[in-house]
Amino acid sequence: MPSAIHTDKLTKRYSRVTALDCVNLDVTEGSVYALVGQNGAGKTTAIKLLMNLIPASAGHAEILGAPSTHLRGKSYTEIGYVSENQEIPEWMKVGYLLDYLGEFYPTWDPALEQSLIKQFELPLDRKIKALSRGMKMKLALACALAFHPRLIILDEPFGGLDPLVREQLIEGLLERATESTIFISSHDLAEIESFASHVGYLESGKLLFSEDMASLSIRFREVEIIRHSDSPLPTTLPDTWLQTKSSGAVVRFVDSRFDELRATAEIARVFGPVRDTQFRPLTLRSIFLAMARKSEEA
Amino acid sequence: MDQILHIFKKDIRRHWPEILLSLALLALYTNRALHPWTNSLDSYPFSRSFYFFVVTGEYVAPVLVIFWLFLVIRVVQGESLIGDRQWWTTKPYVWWQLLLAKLLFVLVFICVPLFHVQLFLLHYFKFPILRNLLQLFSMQLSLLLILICFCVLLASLTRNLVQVLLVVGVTALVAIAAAIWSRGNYSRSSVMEATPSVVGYLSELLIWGGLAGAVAWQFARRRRWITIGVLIVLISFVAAINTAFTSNKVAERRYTPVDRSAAPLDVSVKPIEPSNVNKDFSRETSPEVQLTMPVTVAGVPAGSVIQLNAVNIHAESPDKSTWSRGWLYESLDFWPEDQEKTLTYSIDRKEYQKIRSTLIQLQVDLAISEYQVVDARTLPIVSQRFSDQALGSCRLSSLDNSRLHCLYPVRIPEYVIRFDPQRSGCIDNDSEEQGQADTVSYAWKSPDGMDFPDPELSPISDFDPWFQPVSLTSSRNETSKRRAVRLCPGTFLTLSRPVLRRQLRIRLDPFNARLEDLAATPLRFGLR
Repeated sequence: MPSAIHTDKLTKRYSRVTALDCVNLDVTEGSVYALVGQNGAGKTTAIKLLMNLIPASAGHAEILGAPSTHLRGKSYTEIGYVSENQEIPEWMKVGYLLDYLGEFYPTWDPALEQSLIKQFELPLDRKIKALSRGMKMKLALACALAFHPRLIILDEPFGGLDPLVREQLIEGLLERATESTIFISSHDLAEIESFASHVGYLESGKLLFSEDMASLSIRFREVEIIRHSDSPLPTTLPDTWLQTKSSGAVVRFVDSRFDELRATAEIARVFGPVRDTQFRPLTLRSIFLAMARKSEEA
Repeated sequence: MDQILHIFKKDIRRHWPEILLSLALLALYTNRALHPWTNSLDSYPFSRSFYFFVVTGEYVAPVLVIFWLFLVIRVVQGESLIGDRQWWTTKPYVWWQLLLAKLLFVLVFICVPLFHVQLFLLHYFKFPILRNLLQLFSMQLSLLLILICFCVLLASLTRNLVQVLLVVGVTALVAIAAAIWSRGNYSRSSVMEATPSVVGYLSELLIWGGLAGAVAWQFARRRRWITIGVLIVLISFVAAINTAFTSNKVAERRYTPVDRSAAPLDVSVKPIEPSNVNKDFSRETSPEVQLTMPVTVAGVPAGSVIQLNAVNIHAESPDKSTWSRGWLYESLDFWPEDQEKTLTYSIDRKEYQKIRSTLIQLQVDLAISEYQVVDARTLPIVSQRFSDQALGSCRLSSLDNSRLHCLYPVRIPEYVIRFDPQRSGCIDNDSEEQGQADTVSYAWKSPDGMDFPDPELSPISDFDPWFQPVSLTSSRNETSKRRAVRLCPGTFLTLSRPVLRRQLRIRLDPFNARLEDLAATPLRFGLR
């Protein structure tokens, strides 16, 4: 599959601070890619670099097969971009903004526009400055979807929105997921989990992993062991075990390289024979928290 | 093209209140420009009912220009080029079409209405339109250049009006600091200096090209700090080449040296009388001391006027040490009827203090321009407004008898007007002191050599030819016989046109003097 987004050692430095550090990313066309990470991890910086809003300090990125630094003017007819920080012209009315933008896109679909207006319940005759935050995000998404973009890039689209609006946004996105590649950064892991096909985890500017959701959910497991005794935990534990905790004879941890045979062998090596072992799948949120806490401990 | 019109229509929709206000201000300005006579200060006593209009009308033009600057900045910042949060930056805007849309707005709502007003004003004052069309276009181009190159650039480098005001404020502070600095170094500014014309053209090309290029680059790439950096480098480079090539040898290059016998006038320094006043200026604050030298003048050919452009004094003391400050600008006219004039020259105060009481030999050089007065003809003054092809539309000043008020299309013309009391025809009822002068007097304007009109709003130039009486004695003489010229209906003036004939350097006979005998006592203002 060709890549919709490809980066090679993409780096952004602000003076002495490295916001993004040698990020290698590959987003295949047709995928729904979620870029997750804590605040300040570099998600927004990565997206701004991809959108050619800021220049990279090193490395390069390609968007839809062209260098991101060439992204300007007509190139944006294939990319829908929504950001929570974007400043929409507040003096315009909703209807006028849609009419105005429609002229810029040769593929603008009036029928789809009407459908999105209806779906998102957009008030056409209201000024944008009078809209709520959720309504503004719906409007921004409608503007980004109505021209059948090949690539949709969303920067924290769900931040601060109520569940109903989030649901509407996700529904709107999912309906277009078949015709577009979606690249989304978010803290809202629960929602992302429901539709992301791939996920990347960014930590202090570094991409710690980038893989498809299926392999990720297979790779991470919560492990619960019931030992025969409540002896203290050994001082050295495998690196792949995250957040190891014990309570009496019970030991819990997250295995970040789960393979049942290998995990069983390691448990036997560390604890000897155990009374019971259970492997439970993790939600994306739990994986994210485990990774975040690991880095905090480090 | 579609995008240009689309953005243009959006800007109209957004800025229609400002557009209406701009047109209203332009209408107010036009109304004021239709009454240039009431704009003159001398009409106050006769039109008190218009007092409010006149006073407030003074501010219409600056308010209009400031509002236009505000409008241009608002329109450009509608799609702000600063920051990475602007919604339009991720939309398929083509940068040059965006730039052209903004320029189209400036053209349609500022330049075109102003152009119509200018055409209307020319028509109203009965000046030919076709003959002045090229000049009007030049005025428009000047205005457009300033609006684009300064205003659009400023708007494209700032995020909002607050930032614009901040930049303007900082620039004003720098300008004030520079003015204060140059005041302390005043002597430098009076020196006759110039850069070679090729450096001047190159500098203009670099500055205007650089500013236009910076606007285009900023629209294309939105890299503020790179743009600012390039501009700083460019301005520094232009300043450096101007500094490197600026020379004070202008007089030597431009003015041909001639012997006194071949000079078009004979100037001699009058004997210097010893001064009884204490001329110790060690406690003065001014960096300079002004020297004055009364001279006798003779031999200015009829039909000529000699303009003094610069003076150079070379001093040599008894111990053979020499001193000269070089060529300094001076402006003085010599007419055929002139007999005496006063030359001035500034000297550094510290230098003056060192040698003020020493008898030194002074060598005076003059750089002059000789103008031939051509196309002379009689111009009768009537009580009402009158028109003349060379002078425009004129009338007598109602307050100042020695002044005319004239209007001329686009630029003030060059002229020489001669007043001869024998052809005055005025009945003199006033006292002798205020009455008719018994000598001829001139009002004139020399050709300025400019070929590009200033970026003014009105195509009607308002100017006042003023007749200065010819002095029969030096102005140093307290009992000067200067008399005011009095014009009245029935006066016949002689109107002609000055043409530059040649530029010369002449050297006066050396003379001995003490500087304190030449020094003018500084004027003091204050309460006793």
